[in-house]
Amino acid sequence: MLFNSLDFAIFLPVVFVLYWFVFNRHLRLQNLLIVVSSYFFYAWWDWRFLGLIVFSTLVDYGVGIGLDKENRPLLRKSYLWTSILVNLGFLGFFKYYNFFLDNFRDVFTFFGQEINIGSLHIILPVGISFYTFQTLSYTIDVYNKKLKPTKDFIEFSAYVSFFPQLVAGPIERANQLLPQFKTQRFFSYEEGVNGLRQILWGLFKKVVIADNCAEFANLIFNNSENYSGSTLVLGALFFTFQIYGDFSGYSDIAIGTARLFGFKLMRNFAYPYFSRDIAEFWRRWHISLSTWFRDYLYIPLGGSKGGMAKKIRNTFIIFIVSGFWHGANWTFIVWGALNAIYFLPLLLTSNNRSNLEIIAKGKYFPNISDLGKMGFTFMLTVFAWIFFRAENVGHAASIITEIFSPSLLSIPAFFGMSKALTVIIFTIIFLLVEWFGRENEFAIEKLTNKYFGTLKWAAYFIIGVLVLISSGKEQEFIYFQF
Amino acid sequence: MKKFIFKTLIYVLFVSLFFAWIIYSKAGYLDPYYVRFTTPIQENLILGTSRAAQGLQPQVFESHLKRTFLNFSFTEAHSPYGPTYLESIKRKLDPNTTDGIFILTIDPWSISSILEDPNDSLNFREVPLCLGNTKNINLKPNFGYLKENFGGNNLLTNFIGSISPVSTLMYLHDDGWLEVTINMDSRLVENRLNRKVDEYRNNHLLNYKFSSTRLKSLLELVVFLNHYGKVYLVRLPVHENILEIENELAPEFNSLLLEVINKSSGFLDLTKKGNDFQFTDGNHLSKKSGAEVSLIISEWVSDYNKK
Repeated sequence: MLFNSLDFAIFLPVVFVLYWFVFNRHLRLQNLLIVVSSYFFYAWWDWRFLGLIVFSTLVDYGVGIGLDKENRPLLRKSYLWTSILVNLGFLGFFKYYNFFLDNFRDVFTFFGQEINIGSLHIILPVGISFYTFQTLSYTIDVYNKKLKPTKDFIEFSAYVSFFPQLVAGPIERANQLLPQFKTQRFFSYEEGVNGLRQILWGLFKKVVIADNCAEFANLIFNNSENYSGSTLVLGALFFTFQIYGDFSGYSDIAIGTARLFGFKLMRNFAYPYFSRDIAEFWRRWHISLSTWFRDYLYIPLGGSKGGMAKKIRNTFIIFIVSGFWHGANWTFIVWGALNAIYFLPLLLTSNNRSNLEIIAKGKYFPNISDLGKMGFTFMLTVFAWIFFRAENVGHAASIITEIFSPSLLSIPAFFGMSKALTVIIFTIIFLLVEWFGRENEFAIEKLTNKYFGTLKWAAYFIIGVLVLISSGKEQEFIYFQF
Repeated sequence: MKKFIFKTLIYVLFVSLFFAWIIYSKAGYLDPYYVRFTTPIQENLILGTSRAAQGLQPQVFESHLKRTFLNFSFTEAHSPYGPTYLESIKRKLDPNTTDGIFILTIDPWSISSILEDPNDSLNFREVPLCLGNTKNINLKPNFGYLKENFGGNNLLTNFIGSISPVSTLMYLHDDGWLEVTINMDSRLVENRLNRKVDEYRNNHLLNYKFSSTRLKSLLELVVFLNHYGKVYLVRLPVHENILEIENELAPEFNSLLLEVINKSSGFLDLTKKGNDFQFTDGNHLSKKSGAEVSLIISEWVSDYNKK
């Protein structure tokens, strides 16, 4: 079920009413309702893959119990590896099987050996990369004795399948989310209003910004051979705002929805395009994944401790794995590696933590130096997105070659350019709202404190109408495919 | 909680009402197909692809033939002849019709397919589109259409266009005519023509293949409509450069359609008169020329009807 669908618009109030008015007296019943609703939410897309979530839940629940009872290191390790193998096994099969097979075949063909193994027609279960990482964090934390495992199966199932963040995150940590299933939730008017406000803003990002930018990004990327360098830059910019609006919009809807049910999910985006360097960008982009890799991969590898070679190795590993997590294609690997190259100079000169606060905090505008840094970081990011969006590395290379040709100086032109102007204007307005709201968790969070009632309601009304007008045919979220 | 629910409901109600008003009053600006899914069943139809949708103006037919028409034409992607279009037409037709007039525009693209197997009707590209996915096509408001197809990504820009003081690009009239307002400056027209020729030569011509399944469907449609009135086949004029490409795709088009033509009440080929008319892009008649062509066809039908 998509957040931007009529189905969800019916589903959400029904679950809300049941949750607060029917099952509100019993915590376990409320949790059970969450599990059933979450399974229903997932099955609406494809019920056949529900079995995977249930199996993964059973395995990790069992592993947690086993780890709690067992003190022998070897057996504890075998429990942990059971969880890792099952979860990554599913992920590997559904997401990476064909990629490895194709590359394996290509390598043999390159050396003159034809091998006859056909690719499988595999459908990638929605959200597998997200819930797999979420359950893995649970077993790893239990193994490391940072977390006491739960014995309540319903509670654990609710943690794994919690519908607001099941299919595209934020990837929650067990020590943050699981305790919330153990305690009674109370409805708070302020949280409820804030949740709705965040949902509204998320929908605006998704359907008004992302989906409209997508039309032109797709047009330009899918026919890139016909366009000049300047048009391709415009295409890359459209994609830059498409992916941000799409993914951060999803996160906002997820966090806002969770708030309606009395849950607090972690922040996933913090205005990444206002970053002054790549390290800051990665502290602000897909925070739940970046911190997951930091805690469960980078730090266990030694992090930034050790010699230069080790730092470089660890940086490349984490960025490449992060790229590969996004999809089984060399484009994502190159995208990851490129970000590692961007990041390394900062790490090696110990400048990777120099911009911890939001840009121009407490001011309306940044100073010239920060503005320059922000613009430069933004350009690096846009350049990297070309690999992320391209069909393959060759496609990305051809786009980049055209961008760095004299045609870069021509006036951008493509079919539908006049319509794109509307989208560009909306994107600029969107950026301004994000800029002036950048000190809040989401851009319109404090709208209520700054403006008088009527103006506030007018803003909500306009956003709501724009969302409905732009809804049209439901467009999937990009991150569903990851 | 009461305050929260009350305020939320009020908000949802106001936004929904405003949206409903937009759909009701501005639908023709917002979506190039929706209105055709909201009319009641019809006795007289204009059928075909975007050439007919933009070119043939029902009000011209009405004034000459003294009966109401619906232009139920869509695009080359949505309404080439085939099982999907045939089923939709059956649903759009008033079953009590006895003396209807049906204008079917034909061209090589509307009986071709871009599929590897041009007769693989299950995978024709119109199958998942609005005519294929909307079962009830005579409802107002049509929630089925709205849910599955409304607007797409252009809805926002179309809406902005509809409330802006400058003239808008497209407006779908209640009678199904898609009015396109576009700058007809000769330099711009030539640019659009060149682009269209390039698209047809380098894309369409390479990918389209004649489909005997589509031709069979067209024949089935003509036979079906003959039970309800008279069927007239028309090949609309296009720019000579486009016609040249079309003739490469189907050099023997008219003889290919011989059986269909024989089953119809008449066939009017206007392709040789391409130089008499103006086109927005070589493929679609301008508003003025569309009215002229509509008049020519009306008069021709009127003469034929008298015979």
